[in-house]
Amino acid sequence: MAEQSAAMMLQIEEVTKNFGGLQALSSVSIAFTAGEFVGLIGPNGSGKTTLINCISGLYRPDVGLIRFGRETISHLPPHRIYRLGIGRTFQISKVFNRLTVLENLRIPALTEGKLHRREVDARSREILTQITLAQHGHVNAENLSGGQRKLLEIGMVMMTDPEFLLLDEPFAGVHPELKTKLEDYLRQLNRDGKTIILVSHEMASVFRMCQRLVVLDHGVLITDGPPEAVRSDERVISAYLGGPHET
Amino acid sequence: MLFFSQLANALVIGTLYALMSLGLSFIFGVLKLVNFAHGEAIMLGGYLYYLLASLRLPLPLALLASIPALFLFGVFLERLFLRAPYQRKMARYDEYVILVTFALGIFLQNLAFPIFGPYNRQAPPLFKGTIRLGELVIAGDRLTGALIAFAAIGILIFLLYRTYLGKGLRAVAQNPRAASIVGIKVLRMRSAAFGIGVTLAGVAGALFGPIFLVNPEMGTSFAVKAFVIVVLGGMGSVTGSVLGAYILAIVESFGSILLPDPTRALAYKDAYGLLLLVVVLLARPQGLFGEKERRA
Amino acid sequence: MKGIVPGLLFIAAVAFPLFFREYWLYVATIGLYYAILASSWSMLAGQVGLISFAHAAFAGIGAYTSALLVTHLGLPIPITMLAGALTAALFGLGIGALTLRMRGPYLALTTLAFSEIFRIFITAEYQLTQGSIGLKVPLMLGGSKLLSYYTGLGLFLVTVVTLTGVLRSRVGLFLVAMREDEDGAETRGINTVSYRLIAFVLTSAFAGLAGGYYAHVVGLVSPQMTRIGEMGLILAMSVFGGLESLLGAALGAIILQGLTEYLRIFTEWRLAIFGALVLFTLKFAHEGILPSVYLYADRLLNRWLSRAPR
Repeated sequence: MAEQSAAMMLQIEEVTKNFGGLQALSSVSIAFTAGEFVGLIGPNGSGKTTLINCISGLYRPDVGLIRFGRETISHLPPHRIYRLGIGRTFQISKVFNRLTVLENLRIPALTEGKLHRREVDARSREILTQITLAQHGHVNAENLSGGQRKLLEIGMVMMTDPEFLLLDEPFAGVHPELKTKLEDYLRQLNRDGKTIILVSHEMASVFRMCQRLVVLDHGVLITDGPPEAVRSDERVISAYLGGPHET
Repeated sequence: MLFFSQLANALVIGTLYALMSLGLSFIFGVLKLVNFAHGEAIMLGGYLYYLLASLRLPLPLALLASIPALFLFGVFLERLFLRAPYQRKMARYDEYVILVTFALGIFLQNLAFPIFGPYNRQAPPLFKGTIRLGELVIAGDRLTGALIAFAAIGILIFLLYRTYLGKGLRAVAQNPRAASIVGIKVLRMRSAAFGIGVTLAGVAGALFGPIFLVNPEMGTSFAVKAFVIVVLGGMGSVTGSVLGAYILAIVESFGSILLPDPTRALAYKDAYGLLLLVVVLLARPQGLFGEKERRA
Repeated sequence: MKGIVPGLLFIAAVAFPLFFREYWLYVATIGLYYAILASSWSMLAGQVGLISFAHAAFAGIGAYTSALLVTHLGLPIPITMLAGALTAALFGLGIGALTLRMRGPYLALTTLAFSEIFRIFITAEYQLTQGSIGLKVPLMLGGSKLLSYYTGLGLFLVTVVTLTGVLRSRVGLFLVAMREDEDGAETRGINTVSYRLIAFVLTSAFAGLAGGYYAHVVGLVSPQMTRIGEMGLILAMSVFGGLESLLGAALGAIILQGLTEYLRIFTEWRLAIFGALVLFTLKFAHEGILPSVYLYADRLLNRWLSRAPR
């Protein structure tokens, strides 16, 4: 039993990341367990996306380690991390503009090589309907609206059914009606056993869906706990609004 | 003694190299593109000065007259090939820019062949003879060239940091969107910057003319050197280009002593710079003073 | 329309020697050399999005490898040509590996530097290569222009079929995805390192093959074939013919090569005219002149067909 839960844990240990003179992350340590729905919040520039980039392998931490189960993944390239079961979406959608929506969807499954071509096609059509883009299968991704691109990204990530999802601002620019559908979808995914780490500025959604909030400010972890506690935490309030210790 | 004369030579050539590469660096700084036709701008300057000098114009006047011509030509090229794709936010703009500047360079080079002939031309030097500093002997044309180059660089720095135009250029280099919000005409600045870049290269070419001879292909080897310098110093950095220029000049000057066989040593002279370029691109692509690119 | 054109072109290519002899046959043979170079370059630059200026150098590597092996070891030409392709592929692997993290102008500059370093090396080591005088090499197939032409056509077909096959496969899809967004591709599971290397190895292998072919058709290998001007020619041909189409680039090569001979009267101005053509293409029809013409012709044809009585 302990072995099983260890295998599903994502551990961030003392991770520090610098860019020139800027310290984007300072000694951040967090542990995530399987099945959680965690919100990663903090004011702009607090290091949320940097952390996601470190986990997904686009950046390499200058100091510290990231572990997934028993494997250390901090030095692995992004494509290996994806294959281990950690999928992510981007703040500004990274879809393949001059490929069609269906081609975009097929790619993550094709790289895995587990499914036959026909199965990949079938699954891509399935996901296409799930993300409500059924009419747009043969449209080039560059012709989609911002919100549609976000949906496509989620579809792409779901093609291989990863266990861990890192979602960077999935609601930005999405139609409110669609947002509710998305929230329901994410909640269902979580019920099905997926671990979701959600970066978002939509506080209402975050507070609704997440059982736990992790707050970053200027690259430092300032609070980690249930939403109600975090909401009333002074440090969090001053981080967002500016407080006595702000220079 | 050999050491000092090589060093003096390197410093003189280095100043000329600095002028030559500043144009490339400047264009990258403001327009964020590498001008692969840079060598041909150098060549054009060389021919322009040569032509004006053959028209019996007094030499300093020939040099000065080339400046507005080069500037206008640069502006013309930018407006013809680079403005529209930038404005339209063309897809794969970065690739287009490489292709179009490279093609432009090839075109200009192949235009020079029939117009000027493949022969080497010697432009009259601004100062004949040699100069003796104690035991050091430096060729007069090189020294005057270096002094003029030094002055030109000084004028550029003055332009950049003490004039309104310079401020606008630096603003566009740092953040075009913010610059346009505060009222700076970004498109005009880009054209001006390209014009200035071509002018700097052209003046360098004019100064090179008397020393290294003018022919349609002269641009290629100088362009390669300019690329080495700009990458070494960091794209877009004035200080970097100047420092890089001296480093390259020194490497070339002393490197040729390394290989025992004199003919091969000479043949490989250009290769030193190239190897330096490759090493820098692999080890520290942002050069000495450039900034590293962020991802995602 | 789509399938007919390549078919017609193929028939025209096979029938070509029936109508043209000696001089024009030779021109076409050289044209095939450029066609292989242009189409392989356009795959790398157009489809994969990696603009490399080392392509002419890879051809040179193939040519010199084949030349030296024949001259010093007396090996048969087909073997040395293959060796040339393999050597070029190896260098392609090396350069690909060294430039893994590079994009855009940095990649262009590095490959340009390699090309120049190679040219300087070839020119300097005159004891090995005869320097700028060039190395004399035996001609293939007894110097028969006809057989050389058909060999070239065969090599060209192999090139186009292989590269098109790769592009249509899942490898091709990944390569295009990498062009669109390299980080995005990595994050979706594409091992960009391997695929980038595959792209380099594949395209440089064909460039090397073309180089070996050129050597034994012309009978002389010299550093001239690795000059930046040659790279400019390849670029011009690919851009003119259509950077995103292998066949387009190849056609561009054939057409420009044909023009080279037609414009012999304007010998000196030839290359300037080409340059102007390329600039014109880039400014007004940057997908390539041929694709634009093709699209236009296609539209006309459709209009004509839809008006035809049923």
